[in-house]
Amino acid sequence: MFGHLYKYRLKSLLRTKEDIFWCMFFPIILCTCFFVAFSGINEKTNVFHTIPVAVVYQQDNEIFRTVMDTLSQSDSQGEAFMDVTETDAGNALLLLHEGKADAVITVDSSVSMTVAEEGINQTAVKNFLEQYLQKSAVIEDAVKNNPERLTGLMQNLFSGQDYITEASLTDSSMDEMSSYYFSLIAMAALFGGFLGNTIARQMNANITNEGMRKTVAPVRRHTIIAAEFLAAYTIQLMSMALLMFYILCVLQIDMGNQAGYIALTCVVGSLAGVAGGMFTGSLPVRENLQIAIYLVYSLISSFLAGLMVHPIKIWIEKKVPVINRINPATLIQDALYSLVIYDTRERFFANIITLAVYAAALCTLSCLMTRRKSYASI
Amino acid sequence: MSEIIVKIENLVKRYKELIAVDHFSLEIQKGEIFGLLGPNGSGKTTTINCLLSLLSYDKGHIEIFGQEMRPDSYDIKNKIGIVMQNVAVFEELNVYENIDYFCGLYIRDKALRRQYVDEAIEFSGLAEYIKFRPKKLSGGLLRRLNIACGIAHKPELIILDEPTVAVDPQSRNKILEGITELNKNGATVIYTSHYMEEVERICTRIAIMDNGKNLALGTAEELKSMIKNSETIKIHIPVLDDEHLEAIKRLSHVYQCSYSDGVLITAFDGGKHNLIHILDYLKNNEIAFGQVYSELPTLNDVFLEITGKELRD
Repeated sequence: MFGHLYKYRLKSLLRTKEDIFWCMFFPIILCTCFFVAFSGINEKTNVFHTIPVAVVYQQDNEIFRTVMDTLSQSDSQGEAFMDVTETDAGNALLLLHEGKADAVITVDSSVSMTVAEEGINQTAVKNFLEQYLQKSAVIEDAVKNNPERLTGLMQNLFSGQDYITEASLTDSSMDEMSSYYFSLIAMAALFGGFLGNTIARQMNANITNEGMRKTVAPVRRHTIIAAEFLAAYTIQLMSMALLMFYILCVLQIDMGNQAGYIALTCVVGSLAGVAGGMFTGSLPVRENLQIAIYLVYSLISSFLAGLMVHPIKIWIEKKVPVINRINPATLIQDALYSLVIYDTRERFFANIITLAVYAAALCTLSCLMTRRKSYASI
Repeated sequence: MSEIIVKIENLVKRYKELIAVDHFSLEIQKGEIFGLLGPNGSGKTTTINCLLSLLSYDKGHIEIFGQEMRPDSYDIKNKIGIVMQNVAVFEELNVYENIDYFCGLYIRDKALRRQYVDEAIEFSGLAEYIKFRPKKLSGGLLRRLNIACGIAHKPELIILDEPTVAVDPQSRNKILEGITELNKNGATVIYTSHYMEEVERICTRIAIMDNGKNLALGTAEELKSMIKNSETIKIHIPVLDDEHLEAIKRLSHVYQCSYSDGVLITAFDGGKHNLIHILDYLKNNEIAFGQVYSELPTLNDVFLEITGKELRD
């Protein structure tokens, strides 16, 4: 009997387009969107490109020319700070307007800069010129007396100096954006609740006709509940496996070398998700309202875990920490986060145990509501 | 004496102030096709749901197959087939899978189940549609699938709750023929409907329900004999003066007579050859007449006389 119920429930759930979309495909679509968006941010913020500038010498300045030559040479990482084009004023402006130069530096009795728009490159050139004017005496001395040390001097002058050393809590090299992926995994785990919601609805005689037919059949309720829950959980685990494969192998997001613990988080998180859905599916309200309740619940839970705005989780931790201790999406997100931040597993297991207790509580409540045998009204 | 399959005693079901089933009692014998006839909202489905222990009830006692029916009476449930008023199938499973799924809730042996499922498919005429999902089926076919899911496990007691609602006449005929066949094969049938023609056609005994009460019980003939009217004759007569109308009223067994818009309607309370008597009178008095109709009483007349309202109201 168990096998019969399990087989058909698995089959029917796999063909339930809405549930499969939310559980299996929506997290992957959202993950792809995150990947595209974060790739853009990384490119803009982290990747440096040589800045093209046009220099107009209205008055000869040997020291400045030497400095510019130095900055035009590749640094240790193979990237030059500036790509300098010496030209006249008219051509320089033409290059500026055509976008072939980000800035025009005019050298006469002083050094000035003209730009067509504001941007990171323009700010960098401006900072360089300010530094140059402030430290021209030192540079002039170096050019005249120790020209071979000019390159090193330039690096010291323009790169700034850190006086505080950053100490990492862990050996893991976590990408800052990973926390968004953790929140997404948490959301995907909770979306398993749509499957739980469907099975619970179709078990209850006061909600669906299928539930009515099952209730009059000579099958014990706990057998139906166990078989259907297991079928929903199986599909949810498949969805999570697919998502993790996509994140780790296709998008190659670095989540540290914690595969076993990540898998455990997905297993327990999915359990909490399916149990949550089964609980709302057992509530004595209309079918559509049950779905709406679960959708709102899972989205709010994910929002509070920082899916849309990461700092919200930090803000909650400061203002109302109890929410972070009981919100299932935060528990999942935090379990994954703690894996890459801390070397110990105390916080991870605290989250996992809380999730397991949450799942067990919801399962028990759902069973108590679903196993009711006679209804007051249908 | 026949074996009693279903026994309902003094059943009461309340929804707050509303009494849905009001001290309802009933006995159904083995091999019957028992009709529960009543308008929508009369308490038929509530009675069935109480019978199946789907609904809790306030008062009364229900026995099926000689045992008290409880929510965990799995032995009893195993012998019951239910066809719900609303189609209760899985949209995601095809015809074969749906029947197999519901049959599998009763029959564990795979080979036997396969045989039963094939027989149910043949019985319901769904052989051409086994790969179809319910969404692709017409209303009539969907109803047939609903029935097939309910009877595939060959139950001894089949409960059909308004199985022909929103079904075309052809499918309706097929369904009614099928129910008769199931009964011939040994199943006891409880059939609820608000279509009196269907109930009259297939049921061996009928209970008329209204406002949760059992108003009358018996065979169709017994029910009809409970009322005064035995025959109603309608005759198109272009001209009929008051003198002749009064004379017709004085004919034997006439208890009601009216003439308007060129139609004479005469109701009789028994008697034989009523039509001959009235036509003889018209001929003897050289009164011209056109079309003539003779109607025997229907269950609607029974319902009308008992409740003062039409069954279809």
